[in-house]
Formats: sequence, C-alpha cells, structure tokens
Amino acid sequence: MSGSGIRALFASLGVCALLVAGALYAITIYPLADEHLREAFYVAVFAVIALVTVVVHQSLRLAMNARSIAKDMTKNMLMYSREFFSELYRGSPVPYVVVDLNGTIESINLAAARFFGVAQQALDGKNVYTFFVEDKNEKTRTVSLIPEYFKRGKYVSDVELELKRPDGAMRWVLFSLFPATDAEGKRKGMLTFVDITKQKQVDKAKTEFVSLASHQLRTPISGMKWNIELLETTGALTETQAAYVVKIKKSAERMDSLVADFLSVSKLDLGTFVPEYAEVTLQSFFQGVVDEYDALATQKSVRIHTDWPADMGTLRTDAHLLQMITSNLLGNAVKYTVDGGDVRFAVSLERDQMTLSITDTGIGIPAADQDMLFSKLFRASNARSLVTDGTGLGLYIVKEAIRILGGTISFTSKEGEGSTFVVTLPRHARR
Amino acid sequence: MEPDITARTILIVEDDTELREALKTALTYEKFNVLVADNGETGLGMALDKHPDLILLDVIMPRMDGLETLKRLREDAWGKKAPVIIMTVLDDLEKIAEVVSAGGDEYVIKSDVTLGTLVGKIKARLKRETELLQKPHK
Repeated sequence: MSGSGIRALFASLGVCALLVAGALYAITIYPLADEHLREAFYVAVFAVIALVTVVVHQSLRLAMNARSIAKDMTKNMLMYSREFFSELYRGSPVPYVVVDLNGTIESINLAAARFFGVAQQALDGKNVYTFFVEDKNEKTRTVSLIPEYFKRGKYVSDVELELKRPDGAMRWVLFSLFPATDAEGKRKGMLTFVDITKQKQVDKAKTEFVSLASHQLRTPISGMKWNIELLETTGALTETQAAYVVKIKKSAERMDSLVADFLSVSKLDLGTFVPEYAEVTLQSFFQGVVDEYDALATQKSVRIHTDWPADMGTLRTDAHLLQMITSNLLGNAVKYTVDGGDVRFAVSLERDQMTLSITDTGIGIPAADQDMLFSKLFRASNARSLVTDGTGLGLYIVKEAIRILGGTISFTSKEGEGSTFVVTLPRHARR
Repeated sequence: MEPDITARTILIVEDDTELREALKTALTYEKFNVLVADNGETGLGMALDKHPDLILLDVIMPRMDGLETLKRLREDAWGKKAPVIIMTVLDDLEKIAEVVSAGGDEYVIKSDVTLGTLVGKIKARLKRETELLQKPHK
C-alpha cells in the first residue's frame, strides 16, 4: 500500500475517533433530559461517522489509483531511464554527434568515434562543419547553407556530402541534422551520418566505365560514318545499294547520339562537368534547335510553332547545357507526338529569368509514371512502345543540366492528350 | 589570288585502321600526298624525316600517345612551327586544355565531324599556312 493511502486511512480513523470521543464527552457533560433530543443527537453523530467513512473509502480508492499510476510510472522509468537512453546513444551503430547552435561538438557516440577514426573525446570543442567538404562544382551550395538552416531551427535530412576525417581520409555520408533542447533549455542539435562511401565508389566506377566505353565506341562509329561517306561520294552505287547505305548511315548516327547521351550522363554523374559561361544569342540558338528537328517533324507531319519575342538578345549561360535542355525537350515533344500533331516552343523573358515552355499534343505521360520521369534510364510505359530506341537518359540529362545552371523544371501532362514542360533559367548567371 | 595547295604532303598519325584509311582515301582523292603512321613513335620519326606540310595527330595511341608526340615534335627546330591538327574523341575541356598546353593549336572531335568537313578544315589550314609563308616575300 502506498504512503498516501495509509495516511488517508489514519487521518479518517482519527477524525472518527475524535467525533465519537466528542459525542460521548458531550453526553456526559451536558446530560440531555429529553429522550427525543438525545436520540436526535446520536443519529447526527452516526450520520457524521457514516459520512466520514464514505469520504475515507473514496480517498482510499483514489489513493489506490494513484498508487497504480505511480507503479506504471516507476515501470516506465525503469524501462526508459536516462541510463537507458544514454545506452541507446552510446551503443547505436549509427554515428551520432551532439553540437551546440554554432556546430561546436559537445559529444559523439562510439559509432561516430569509429567513423571519424578518433577517441571519443578527441573532437570535443571542434566545429563539426570544418569536416564538411565544399563541393566545388555544386552550384546549389548545400554545405554552406547547412549551418544557417540549423540556426533557424530547421531540419536537414538525408543530404549527400563528403567529409574529411581528422586523419585526412575522405568519406561520403548521408547526413541529417535535427534541433533539440537540452535540460537547461539550450538549443542543441544532433547529427547523424550514414556512411555511403562504398556505394559512391561503386557508382563512380560504374560511371567511369560508361565514360571509357563510350569514348572507345566513338572511334569505330566515326570509322563507320567516314567510310559511309566515302561510299556515297564514289557515286557508283545502284539505287538499291544507295538506299541500304542511307540505312546504315542512319543506324550509325543513332548509335552516335546514344553514345553522346551516355557520355553526357557520365560527365554529369562524375561531377566533372564544369559549365563554361558565355553570351548566347538566343534567337539563332533556338532556331538552330528547331531546325535540328525540322526533318523529323516534316516526316511525321508534326507542326512546330515557335513563339518568342522578336529581339531576345543574349543570355549568359553554358551553350552546351542549354543545348542539352532544349534539344532533349523539343526532341521528345516531336518524337512522342503522333502524326499530324502540334508542338509549341515558347520563350519569354522576365527581369530575372527566362522561361521556356514546350507543349505537345502527344501521347502524354501516364499518371503512374510521372513521379519517376526524371530518373535515370526510366521510360514511361507508353513511350517504350511508341519509340523503341530511347535510352531513358534524356530527361535525366535535362534535370541535371538545369540543376547546374540553377534553374527549375516542371510539367503537366495527361495521357493521350499531351504534355507541357516549363523550364526557368536565371538571366544573371552566378559565374 | 587563291594560294595553290595541291601536291602538299599531309601526315596522318592514327592508330585506327578504318579512320586512317578513310582519311587517306579522301585526301588522296583531293590530290594531296599522304603519309601514314599508326602510332606516335613512327609518326614522330616520319614527321622529322619528311617535314610534311600538315600533321593530323590522334591522341589515344599505343607506344607513344598524341600529346607526348606533340611535345617531342615541339622540341625540334622544324617541328616547333609545324602545323598540327589534333584529332580526338575526347571532348572534355580538361583534355582540350592539355592539348593546347602541349602545343596544339587546332583540334577536331572526330565523332562530331564528317569526312567532308574535316577535309574542308585541312584545306583551309593549308591555305592559311601558305599565305603566312608567302607574306614575307611580298
């Protein structure tokens, strides 16, 4: 029985005893002559005793409840004691680092010590951000934004970044940082790292292989193309032979553009793509892109409508990336529009940005495929059956190119009706 | 007056047989004298021996690659000013920067040009070189 229950019982017994004693004392001191009056007095005394008993009973019940709650709480405290949480922190296989608002390390767990290759107290007082490696090619500057984000009390979750350990070893991590308040009410943060160095290495090896293979493929493709050209210039071919030559040429060109796609992706993935900013004359640039698809559009009776201001002037950007973006989007619009449809390519210039919008009356993107649209090697189910030789790299290249240029892309689409892709690019490039 | 560039000697240093032969055929057709080498080492020896009017130099080759060949060529008194067009399949800026620092002044990306375009570039380069040579005499 709990202390409060016992106290309540003794208290009520005490009150009863006092009341009975008081009643007996009153009777002896002031003997009541009237028999009725005496009876009324006894009834009153017993009523009071009954009332007290009820109160005591209720108090006891409450006390018993309180006792069981307290018992539950004790059980909780046993299960989830401070020690328990400390144990979780200490023994977790995930590296944890506790920092103050400025990123100064206050404590790290065993996994973090192993991860950094140091003794557990060795990093106390050091700033955790000094271990982050700033990605030179990363225009979004994720790393430099993290401290500011955290100061504002925001979560940082699953950001890929590179760390340099105190011993100089490099590690790729999936990094998260979330704010917490300590016992003194001070704002702190907990960082978690998931080591993805191995995955990154495998990914890089794969990309390098693709890059190497693609470069190697380019030489024999050039050999084919040049020899086809010689075959055409000899002029000694029959009509049938000339038609076969055209087919071989088309295949060689297709192979060439596939290889070019693989190379673009491997370059973007390796992070070796350094944009080269220069003034691009927009009118002739976009006209060039449209001309590129003129033959295909004519062949399919697809009309390409252009809608842009008469004098667009120049834009400071990377021409190669802009080419990847516009050519892929316009190419898709023409390729995935059934014969006789319309493609509209519009450009508008605002103060700070340029907006490109490419609309088609094509096959559209099934709702179920829309989430995956910009992933590498993904092709929408209806696209696969209409155009069989796509790589599924085009929109990935577009997305990456736009990311490097600091722009945005969005789309709306309905299966069977068509799609609209809208791209915005900054007019004042950072570099 | 258009400078006369017929009967000029062009050295092709290229390890890929199909590319080398196609280029040789196209240039012979244009009445050039064509010399061929299938690696940098042979190419360098041939260049220093025959002093061709133009050298077409591949980059990735066995025994001695194009960049090394170019560096050694530039160490020679004649080779220092010999016209060279680098032919590569590597279109990354880093590689091109490397070519330039090794003394290459013109390059083409093989997979991006047709044989016709390349022959056009070769002719244009020979004309420029001839004009440069003729000027001091005027």
